[in-house]
Amino acid sequence: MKKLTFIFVLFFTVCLNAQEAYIEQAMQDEMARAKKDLFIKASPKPHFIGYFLYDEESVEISAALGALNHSFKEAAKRVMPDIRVGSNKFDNTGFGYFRHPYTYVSGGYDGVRNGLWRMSDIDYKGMLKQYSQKEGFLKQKNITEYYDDFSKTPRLNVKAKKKNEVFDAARFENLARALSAVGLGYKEFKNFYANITFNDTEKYYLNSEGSSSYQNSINLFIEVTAELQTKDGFEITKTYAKNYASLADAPPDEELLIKARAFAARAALFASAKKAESFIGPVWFAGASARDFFNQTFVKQIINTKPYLYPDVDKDAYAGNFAEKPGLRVISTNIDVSDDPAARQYNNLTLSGHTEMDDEGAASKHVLLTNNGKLTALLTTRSLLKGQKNSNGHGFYTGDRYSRGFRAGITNLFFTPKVTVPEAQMKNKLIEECAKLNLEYCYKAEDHTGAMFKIYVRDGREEQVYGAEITNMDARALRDILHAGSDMTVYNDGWSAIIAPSIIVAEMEITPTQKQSAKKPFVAKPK
Amino acid sequence: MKKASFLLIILLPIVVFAQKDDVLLTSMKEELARNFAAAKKESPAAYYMSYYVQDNNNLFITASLGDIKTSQSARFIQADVDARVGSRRLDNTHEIKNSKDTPYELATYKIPLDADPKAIKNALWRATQAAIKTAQDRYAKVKTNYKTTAKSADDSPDFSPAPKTPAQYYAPITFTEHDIKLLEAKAKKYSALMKEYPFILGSGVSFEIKENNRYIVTTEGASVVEGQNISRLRFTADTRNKDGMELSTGKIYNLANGMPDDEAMIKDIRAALENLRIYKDAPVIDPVSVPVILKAQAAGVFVHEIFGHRAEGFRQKLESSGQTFTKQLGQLVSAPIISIVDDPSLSTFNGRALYAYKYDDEATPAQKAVLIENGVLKGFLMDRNPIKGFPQSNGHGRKELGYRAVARMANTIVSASENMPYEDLRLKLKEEIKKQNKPFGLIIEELDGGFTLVERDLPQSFTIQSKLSRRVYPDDRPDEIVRGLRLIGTPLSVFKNIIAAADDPDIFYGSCGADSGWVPVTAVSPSLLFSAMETEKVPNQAQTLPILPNPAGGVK
Repeated sequence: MKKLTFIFVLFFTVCLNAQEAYIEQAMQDEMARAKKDLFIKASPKPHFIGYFLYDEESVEISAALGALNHSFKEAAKRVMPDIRVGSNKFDNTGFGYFRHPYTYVSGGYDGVRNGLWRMSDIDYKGMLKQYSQKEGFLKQKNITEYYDDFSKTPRLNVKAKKKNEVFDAARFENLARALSAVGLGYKEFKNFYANITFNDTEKYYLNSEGSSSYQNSINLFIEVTAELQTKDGFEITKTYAKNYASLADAPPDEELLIKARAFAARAALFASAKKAESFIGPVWFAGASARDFFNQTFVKQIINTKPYLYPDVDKDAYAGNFAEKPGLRVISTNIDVSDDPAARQYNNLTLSGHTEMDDEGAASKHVLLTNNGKLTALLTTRSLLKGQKNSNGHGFYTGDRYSRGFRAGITNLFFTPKVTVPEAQMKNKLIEECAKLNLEYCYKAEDHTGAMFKIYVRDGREEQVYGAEITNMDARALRDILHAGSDMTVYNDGWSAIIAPSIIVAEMEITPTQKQSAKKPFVAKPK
Repeated sequence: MKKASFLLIILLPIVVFAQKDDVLLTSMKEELARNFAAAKKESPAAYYMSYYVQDNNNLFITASLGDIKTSQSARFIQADVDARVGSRRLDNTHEIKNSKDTPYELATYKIPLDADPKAIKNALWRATQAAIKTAQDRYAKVKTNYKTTAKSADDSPDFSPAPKTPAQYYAPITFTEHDIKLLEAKAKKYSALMKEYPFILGSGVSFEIKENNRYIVTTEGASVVEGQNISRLRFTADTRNKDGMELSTGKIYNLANGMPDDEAMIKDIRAALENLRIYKDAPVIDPVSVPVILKAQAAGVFVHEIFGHRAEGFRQKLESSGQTFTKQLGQLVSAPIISIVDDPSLSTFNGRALYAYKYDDEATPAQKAVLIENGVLKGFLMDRNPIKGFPQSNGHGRKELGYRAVARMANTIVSASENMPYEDLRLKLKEEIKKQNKPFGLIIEELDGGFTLVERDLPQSFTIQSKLSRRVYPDDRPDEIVRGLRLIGTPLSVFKNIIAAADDPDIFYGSCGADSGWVPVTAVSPSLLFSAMETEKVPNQAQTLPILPNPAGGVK
């Protein structure tokens, strides 16, 4: 029996290597001739070619009220070129609404080459158009400062190990059933369901400078959702979600069930929630709401730091404005922020953002972004900002409609407090802060749904409210962080992660939602 | 061997399930009754509801250049709810004039795969709550619009009376255990052929197997469970001329007729690719008006697009519709040799499978609808939306899940009272060219889809793109493949231009998209000779040829 197992494993490994080899070979062969001959006479040539191949496997499972809704498995290979025409100093990038074409390909050498061939042709011609438009646009403008579009970077070859994680669909189907069955015990819920998705993505990369990489990302997403209606008819959807970068990190099923039960009990309380009232004062962002807070206030400003130029608008609405703020205080002095692509784990949990190379072939490096509240560095790409010499390896491809391209992005973003409040003391701290302001109550958020808890200063009583909309969730609020909890938590998200504590922010503005309540069901839910 | 493969892969043994043990059906009936009892007391009250649930088992395999691109199977169940408030005379589905607000789209809901009555009923309950609210909202708009706009020429009720005997039918199919490895092997083998043709840019071979059981229960007491299997094998290949024109070829096989054997498939693919090679560099034709033969499958598609959609009953009373044939009943609308029926109850034609059903998506028995008899318009395709002179459905209420059923085609069959061998039809084309003193005529072998404008605020014209056409000279010069043409015209005149038909009826298997979503259809027709048809040039994307040669084969 032992021997059989050994043979199986060995065989599997051999197959795997063979598979990687044909993909790499196809990429190299197509690259060789593209570097030599992919150009149109008398037109700018490509000064850089990058090839991506994503080999993606995914499983999507859904169950509601104890019964399985679906269980889908998909596998696909996708290729995308990154062709830049002109020169390192001036090329087609950073301008307008371009996108690189991609196509799904069959799983063989010929399919990969065919896809790269067809997409490269389209990409080169599209980028030529982009180049001429950018050239024409700049001629009409009086631009005095222009920094290189694509700096040099040393050749780098990265070959991560394949993770070989095996998703047990039957186990997770049963888990989805069990998690969703938790809702059966609550008359308050109109629906209670669980979604589990698993993604195993292998990313192959090769560029014309000789850099290459193979990286493998695992993402297990477990989500439980309760839909309910308050007594006055307001519809609320509450979700408990966790994202793991390794199957091994997922807690045992029984532990997940305990969490689901706790979530359901808490969500059910919102059936008697009252509408939020206008409020200005301290808010405690607990759990996933802290992640949402940092995403809205910090991440948005630290990504896409080099603005794109657009022919029809004056400002790149997707550019983070921290590029203008090095040396200035951007966050509470209690929290240092760093981006650490080298980190593989935190608190024994695998981090999604671990990488050795970004999508431009540059080595991804640790960056201390803030020190004592001041912005000390930026996440950079090979497209230079004022004063920048090299990339620190944070150029990642984004598929957003308007901000697409290789732009500054995060890997593992740590919000590390110097002084922390024990998690169990956070409520008392909130009450203390409210009392200082002579407020009757303050708010605690646990997610971004607007369904929050009022916490009364007098007796610590918690009261559920709905429709609480925060109107000043912007970078200014970062400087108002009063306290950070001891509960540093990992929030994985595909190829990046945020590691952050719960926080109390001094002054947030809440206004009640304008959204109207819905009519109650004309017949009770079935028994 | 061929037969064995067919049995293994395609045959769907129909098992008589015990209806009483069908948890899904029982749950649907119970929840419908419970919800309707309450919805009848709402204001405005529901007067009719139906649950439509589709249990799907799909398999989709695609291959390209000798390797698998996707291979996925999916089992899922979904539901939608048709709720009608107001009265049969005027309800929430009524046309809102001068508005883009249509009643066709319905919300869809996931239904559990597990036979769990509580979870099934919960999903149906949520679907019903939303459907009633949507219906009530729209009914308020309908009432105002009805009062404030001029009376329609056809003010028939919105919903036909309940059938005297509600349908009771129970024939689900068991889903097939597919031999996925075998199908993948075939897809790989066929797709590998494309590697020998470096002028091809993109190509693929796919198996699309869609099995489902439709569950329909209505508050009028109907209960229908009917299985369906739409299994197709398809190949496609595309290329580009140096002037930038995109050209393609392909073929769809209905696997209900059996799995084509390898030899036949390889022959078909090679023939299509050789044609595409010629087609790629064929001369572009300038706009002309000349005699035309539409070969059998192309003729079927043409009749479907240009006549069929205009014979859909509900369009005859929509004020927004062109109503081309509404007032033509009893009149000659086509050449007298032509008759057209649509018969969803017909399961085969000349021994080959059609897309038949016993009951439509409104639980009405499928019936043959006579549309044109000897050139004279006799009737329309009817759902339960009555029109003047046609108060009842003839079983053509069809839909894709997520839509409300409307009258649609199913198996559209064109026949000719006089016909001749195809070769004679071709000679007749030459005669006609000479008679009209035209430099050439056209044979349209394949059509590449198209559209017909049926909205009143648009020209009542059609445009159909040719996939493969030949120029035919009146003399002995050989036929010549030409490219870049679309057939254009208007529906009232074009069918009167039919002057002859061949004796070669063939079946086109397709999917038709319209107001109630996508439904499988067939069109059967012989080759038809038109005395004249007009063409226009196709738009050209003007993409240049790839700079580098195709890596497959390594030559141009």
